[in-house]
Amino acid sequence: MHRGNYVLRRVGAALLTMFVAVSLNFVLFRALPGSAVTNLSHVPNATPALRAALTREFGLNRSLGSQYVLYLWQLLHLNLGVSYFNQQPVFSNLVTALGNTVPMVLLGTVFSIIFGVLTGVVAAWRRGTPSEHVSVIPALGFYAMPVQWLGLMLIIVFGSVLPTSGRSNPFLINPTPIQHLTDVLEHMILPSLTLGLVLYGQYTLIVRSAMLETLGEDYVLTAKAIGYSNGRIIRRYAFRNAMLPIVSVIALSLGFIVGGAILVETVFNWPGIGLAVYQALLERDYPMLQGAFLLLSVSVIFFNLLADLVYFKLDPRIG
Amino acid sequence: MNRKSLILAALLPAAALLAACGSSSAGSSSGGTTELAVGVMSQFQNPNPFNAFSIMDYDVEDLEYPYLVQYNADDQIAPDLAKSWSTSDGGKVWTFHLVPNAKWSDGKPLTSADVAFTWDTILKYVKGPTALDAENVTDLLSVKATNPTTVVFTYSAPLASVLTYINNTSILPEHIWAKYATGNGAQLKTFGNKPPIVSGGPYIPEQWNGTTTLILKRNPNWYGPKPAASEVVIEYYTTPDGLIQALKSGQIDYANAIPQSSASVVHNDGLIVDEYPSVQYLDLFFNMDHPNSSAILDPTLRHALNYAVDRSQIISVAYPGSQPGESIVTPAAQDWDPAVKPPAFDLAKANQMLNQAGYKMGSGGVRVAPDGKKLAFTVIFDNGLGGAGQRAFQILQSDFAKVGVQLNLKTLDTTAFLAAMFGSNNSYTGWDMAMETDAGLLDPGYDLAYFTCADFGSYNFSGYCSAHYDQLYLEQAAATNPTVRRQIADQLQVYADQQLPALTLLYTSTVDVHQHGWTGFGGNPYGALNPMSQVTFETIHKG
Repeated sequence: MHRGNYVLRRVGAALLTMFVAVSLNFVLFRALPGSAVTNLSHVPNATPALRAALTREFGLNRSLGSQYVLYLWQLLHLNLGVSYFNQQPVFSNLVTALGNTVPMVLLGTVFSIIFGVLTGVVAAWRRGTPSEHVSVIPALGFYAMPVQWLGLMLIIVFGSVLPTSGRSNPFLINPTPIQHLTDVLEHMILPSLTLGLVLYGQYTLIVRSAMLETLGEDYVLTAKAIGYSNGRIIRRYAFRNAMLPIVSVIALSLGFIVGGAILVETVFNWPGIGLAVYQALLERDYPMLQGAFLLLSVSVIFFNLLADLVYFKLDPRIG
Repeated sequence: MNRKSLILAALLPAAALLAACGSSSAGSSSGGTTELAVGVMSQFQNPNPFNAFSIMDYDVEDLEYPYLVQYNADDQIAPDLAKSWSTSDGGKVWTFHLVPNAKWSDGKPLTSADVAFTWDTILKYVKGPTALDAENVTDLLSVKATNPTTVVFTYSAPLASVLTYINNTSILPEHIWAKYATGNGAQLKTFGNKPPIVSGGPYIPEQWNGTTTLILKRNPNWYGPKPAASEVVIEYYTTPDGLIQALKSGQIDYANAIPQSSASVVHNDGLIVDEYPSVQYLDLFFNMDHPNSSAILDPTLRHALNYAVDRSQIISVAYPGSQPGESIVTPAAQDWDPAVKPPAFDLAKANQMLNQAGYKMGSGGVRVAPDGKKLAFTVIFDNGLGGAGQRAFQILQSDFAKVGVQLNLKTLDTTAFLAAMFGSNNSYTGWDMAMETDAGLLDPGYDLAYFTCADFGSYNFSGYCSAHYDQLYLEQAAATNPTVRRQIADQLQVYADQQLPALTLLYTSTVDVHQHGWTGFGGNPYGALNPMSQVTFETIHKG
């Protein structure tokens, strides 16, 4: 009963948050100065008739309330609308962009999580030793670096060894699946590495901080006294009980994967959703912006909900 | 973390890699191909010509579809699908004779029926889906195919820019598009037209990854000379650093229109750099309609400020390779008047003019107008001008401060900039000056049109409206005799220089770069890859 209530409450809160996010998405983009009509009617000898035609085409001649109701109605039918710019369904535009973004960002995020956790555990376990400094200082250094600068540096260093632009080699003729996979992987190394390097520092610090707390607990001292191995103490006692804040950060990170990494995508010319959203913002392509931010909102809310449920599993006292 | 979790975590990257096995964007041609890799900084976004927006949309359109006329290597109108043409009825009727036996890439005949269909469609839906092409059907009454290789355009009045409008409009295959030109024509815009596209130009867009990479294959049915490059890959780069790195590492053969400030970076890298005068200019526009400060409307103030512009400094620091500007028509365009020259940079002269006009120096080194208001002006700035534009503004701001004029910057993205400039209902309120680049075409009618009353809310960035200027402009637009047109264009440029609705700071350059392995790149104000002509792809070859 208690468990069921907790789950229902979290799901209810998630749905309400989604509704607020969806409504805010609608309002915020329309608060920006200018519109897609401003952009598209910026052609030589544009006439009021052109602007009127474009306004009608985009449905912007309707009242805001009527646009909002139509927007919600379309969402309920899983219709994200049509891009003002290429007149194609927003859904297919987003799928194309996401298909490029998710593998690259996921790889970088997973690298940052694994490497960050490992260095955080080492830093906490070997506190006060050179191992801690070797773990923490580079983590802080990379964390502080502007991601676009790091990307450009990696291009300079590895430019003659690895591809530095795009997702694949367009001149690779009739590749086998393995050749294609290798080609994409080669193109993915630098952007994913850039992302992973600037992100892992946060995990290092959070894991280190959480572990230091649990390592100071009596049960860890007891485990040492019993004579358990260091590995067992870390895995089953210290790290496990330090998981709560780590789960939180991991959930947020995974939630933001679909948001892409606009700076990394820009530096490496990676055709992802970050770039698509930036373009849509400049062009005031409302349907694309609404669709992309809806996706991002749903993703973040979903992974947060997942984190809440995992919390509950890890520590039933919660809720 | 237990063993199961570790295994799952290790599998995630593999899953990511498998997910990355999307469709390949690699070419599918067999051996013996000659591939040209092109790097660009304008993104191809719309395969549908009715939705064309970026310069790359138009560049690709020029490669895939036929045009009746194009520009040759000397920037003169030359035959393309139309091998010859003639005019009659005082310039109101134009008859074009097409290349016989032309075909589309799918083997269907390419005839005058396609030409008539395309233009009739634009005319039919000009208040709706084809409104973006409205300018190209100015005064056009009808287009008729009198036989498979002859098409007749009839206008209500003679027009000097007919061939420019013809050059702006690609011909579409009727057998593909006719079904969308029905009802209210909305499908003309919603049709994706995704590659592979039925083409009539030198190349067929074959594959597109939806964002950065477009692959074009040579069209075996093209009526023109066979291009040497059998495959062209156009790759979009978001930063000049990525583009230049790709050039240096040999990933691309040719880079189109790189930023001028990057030209010096590639000069010493064994690459070939070509610079062409561009049709683009950088201006400081005055708000001639409803400025915050009425002092802007004083021509003496505007002329005094013209003496306070250090064009040489702006060019050497921010836009190397540019030409100092003054006339509203660029040197690269036809009918530019070289007699309209910028004044020498002379702060003393500027100060003298302002003193004589009654603008006394006030506190803080800022002059005060006779009405008591400070000469402190709001300048809206398009952040699309990037670092070069910002640097140019800083130089202006510093020099204007030396003559007691304060410039307060308001930076906006391009859409917000246009919205702020035009205001609601083209009211042109809330600003005094605006810094922006602008560009016309080779036909001077464009540059000249940008200061007409009819261009409010479009390309008229000054809100300038003069009955005398408009009258001269209309005479120029109707002058089919080139000599007469030239004379009127000169008068317009001189008049605009007297009125000074904007300070033309400089005319930019277009910088193209290519590897040594290729030769035959032609010039054009937009670079070898441009929306006016495919002549480069007729001449480039390896060697």
